[in-house]
Amino acid sequence: MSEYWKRRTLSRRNVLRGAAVGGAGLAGAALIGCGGSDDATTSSSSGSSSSSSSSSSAATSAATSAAAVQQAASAATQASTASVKRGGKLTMHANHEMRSIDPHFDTFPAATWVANSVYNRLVKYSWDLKELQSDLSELPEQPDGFSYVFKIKPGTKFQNIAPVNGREVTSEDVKYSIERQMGQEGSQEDLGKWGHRYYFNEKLASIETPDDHTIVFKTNKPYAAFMYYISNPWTVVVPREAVEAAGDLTSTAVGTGPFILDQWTKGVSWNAKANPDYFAKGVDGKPLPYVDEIEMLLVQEANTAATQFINGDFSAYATDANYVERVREGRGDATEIAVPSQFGRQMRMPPTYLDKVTGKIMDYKSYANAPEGYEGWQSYWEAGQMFDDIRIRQAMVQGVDKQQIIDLALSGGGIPMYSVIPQQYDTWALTEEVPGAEFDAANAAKLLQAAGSPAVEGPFMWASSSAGSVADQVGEIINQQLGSLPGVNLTLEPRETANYYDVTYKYRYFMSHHVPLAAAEPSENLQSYFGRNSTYYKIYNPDIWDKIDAQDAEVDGPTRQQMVKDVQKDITGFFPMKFVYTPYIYQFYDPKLKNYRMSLDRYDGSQIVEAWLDS
Amino acid sequence: MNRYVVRRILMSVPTFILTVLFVFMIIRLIPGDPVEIILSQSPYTTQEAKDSLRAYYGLDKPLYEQFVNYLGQLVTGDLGESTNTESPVTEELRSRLPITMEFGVFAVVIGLIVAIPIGVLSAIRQDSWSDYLSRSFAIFGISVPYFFTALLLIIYPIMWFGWAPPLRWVGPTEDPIGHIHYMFWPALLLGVTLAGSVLRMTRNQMLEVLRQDYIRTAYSKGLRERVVIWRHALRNALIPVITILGLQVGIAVSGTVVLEVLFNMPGLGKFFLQGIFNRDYPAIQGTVLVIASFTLLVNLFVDLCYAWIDPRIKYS
Repeated sequence: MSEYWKRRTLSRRNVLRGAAVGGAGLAGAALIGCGGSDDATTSSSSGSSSSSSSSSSAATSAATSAAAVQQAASAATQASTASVKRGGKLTMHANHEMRSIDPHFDTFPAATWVANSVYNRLVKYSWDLKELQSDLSELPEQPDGFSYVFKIKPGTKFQNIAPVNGREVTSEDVKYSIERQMGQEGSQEDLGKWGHRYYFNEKLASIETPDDHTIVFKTNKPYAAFMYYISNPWTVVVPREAVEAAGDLTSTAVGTGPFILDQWTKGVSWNAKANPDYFAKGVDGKPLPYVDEIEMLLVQEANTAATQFINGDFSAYATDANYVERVREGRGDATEIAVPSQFGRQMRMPPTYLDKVTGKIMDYKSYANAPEGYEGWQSYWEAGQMFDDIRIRQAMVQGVDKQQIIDLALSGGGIPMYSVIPQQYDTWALTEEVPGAEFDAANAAKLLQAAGSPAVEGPFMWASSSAGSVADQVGEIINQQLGSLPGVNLTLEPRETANYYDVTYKYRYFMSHHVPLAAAEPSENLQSYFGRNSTYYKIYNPDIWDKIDAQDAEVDGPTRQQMVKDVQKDITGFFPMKFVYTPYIYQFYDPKLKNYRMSLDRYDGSQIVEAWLDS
Repeated sequence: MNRYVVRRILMSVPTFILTVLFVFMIIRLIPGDPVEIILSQSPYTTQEAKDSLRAYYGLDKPLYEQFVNYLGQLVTGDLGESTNTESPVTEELRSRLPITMEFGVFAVVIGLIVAIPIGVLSAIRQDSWSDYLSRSFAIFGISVPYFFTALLLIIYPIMWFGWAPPLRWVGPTEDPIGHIHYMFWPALLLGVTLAGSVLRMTRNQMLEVLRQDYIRTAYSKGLRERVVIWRHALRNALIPVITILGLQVGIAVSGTVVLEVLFNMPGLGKFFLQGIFNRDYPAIQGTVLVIASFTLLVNLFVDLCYAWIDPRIKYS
């Protein structure tokens, strides 16, 4: 171990500080509130210990504004501990079908809601992603820069159903679950199912279980994202017996969680009953959850979902700008909260591509110098070679006015993105334009002229169906903005989603308007799109790769924060794409639903355990 | 009769194989790759992972080999594994087919209940206000898409009257009355669409039959109008109507796709649409095969009905 990492041996407090910096703020969020509860604002407690990270967050100003919004939001949905009521069925809405309910396979949010109802994690984040909370385990300790020690709460048991029949959870269960999540490389089962194997695969040196309640994770090298991934909604503890009994967990679920899965009707709904033996207690000293049952209705059609919420079919509902007016009009009694979506918007230029013979990522110049007739190229768009010239890339970036897009397409319902990480993750995000990336059509024209006034002509595509209902308008606006630059003439190509995926993940495009999923953990955004092994997108820039790797290994929160911001400036200043905006998602809550907020991580469904119904 | 049925079934075999081939090819010609869809959520997808997944689903083989393998599977009743749900397609279809069948039958029944009496009334009261009204209704049914009326029904009544049609799926065993209530609205919307053509055909055929000599003879014998219309005229007017009805099965099936999504109905249509979005080849092929088989059977049934309606028709 180098001296550098010895110096960074961390206390428990420092672990939490490092982890908490991964939390998000609420910059840009707004409580719109048309109605809502007048209950007192005392928050209930699950009996979990917790450690607030707000003091450790370096983004003080953002945290302050976030705190105000959080307080207001809490007022809208929380009730005094004295008024907590038990019983009732809580009905919720999910807008996705589930391929399966195996938490280690599936990657869609509807499935995590099953996972977070039926299973538990070792630790988890609060709804605003600011506070690391205990779950199956107490908060961890970190004796050195490579080790994380978790203590499972004594007496924590699996649900009292076959095949586990209420047996106690042990550290072996945790070890088994993490190893299962890492998948079986090279095996017949390694068919893309293990969507989260990268969380820990090749990152962990060992998982030790010195006793039944202690589990020690040792990383190969300092791994800053460890706490994010160990607390991730997918990183749940499953019993080996259940997996072995059914072969996998695609259609069954048995865990430690607050709800026992009762029924899953594919394409319709799933429902679960309260686990009477759940280990966490409510404010009344009895086991959580407060409600007797939850039901999740899977409604994909947006108009249908809006009508169902207005009709009272479910208690909480989230939608985009296209449906918000109708829901406001139909449900004036509901509490409304606007939060930035996890899905930002990028205007991309073509990625660099792979040489399938050597497996190396190649830049355009290498392609241009390739021997004639060479067929090693994985995929490419020849016209994309013009983007070798950074002036042309910068011109495209400077030609797009993101505020105009927000105003025209979203009626102001969004916030600008300034780099890879959207602004709501205020600890990590850049909050102002990187010099040279700001909107400046005049300079963009000059850059094009300096680059020889090329004809920037080609298709501009996006996924019309999955990129949200305003995607077509955004495409039109960007096209008009860029079309005003000399020599730029794009052809609009809205595509059906599968068609779009086929092109975008093979890197066969000229320009596109893309919807990336953002997360509170920097590496999840940086490595996946701009790292050396990224496949969502590719740029050939080893300096940027190195910096991304370096921040990945920096476990000191404030230092890492600076590194993350610096590398985002480098990426943005390399002009591979324009980071455009994050739209608001409008959350609506029935006034009878208390003590509940949807997590800012829409994949996290664990907040439901403390919800109760005022009727 | 039996020989006729056997001959018709044998004649269906080439149609069936051509349908399989057509669907097999057309879905692969549409841009999109099931492997890219499955792995689209994984940020570090390697070419090896793509290749292994492609091999698992047999997509790495030449098309002709894939087709032969698929035919071999079909012979054993295996429709393959859905790439989207990871379940056997036969299992998925088994749970969904009854729902779509019920929906389709319900819609056809509503269509007939609406179309036949109004069509007859329209014919016997030709050029009266009731005729104009029923013809307008028929044009409405034919020209206004059911998905449009479905959206209107879903969006506006809740805003204006605080009422919405049931949009939560209720299973028949769970609550039979609630189930019928749930099924009624989508079936009505589809039924009205089906009713348009049937109504017009019924009216036209009735007008023609009512001018026949034997109808005049029936009236001159002193038979009551009701007997003349229902026993003598309608029965003879029905053959083209039933032919139209057989052809309407295709429309009914396509109608279920959109309406099942709008009304959250877990039927074949929804499965089929999901299959298309996800380029789930086995799901699409399996669903189309079931629909094609069903359509062939319905049309065979329609042909057999001719002899029952008109005893002069012989199958020899």
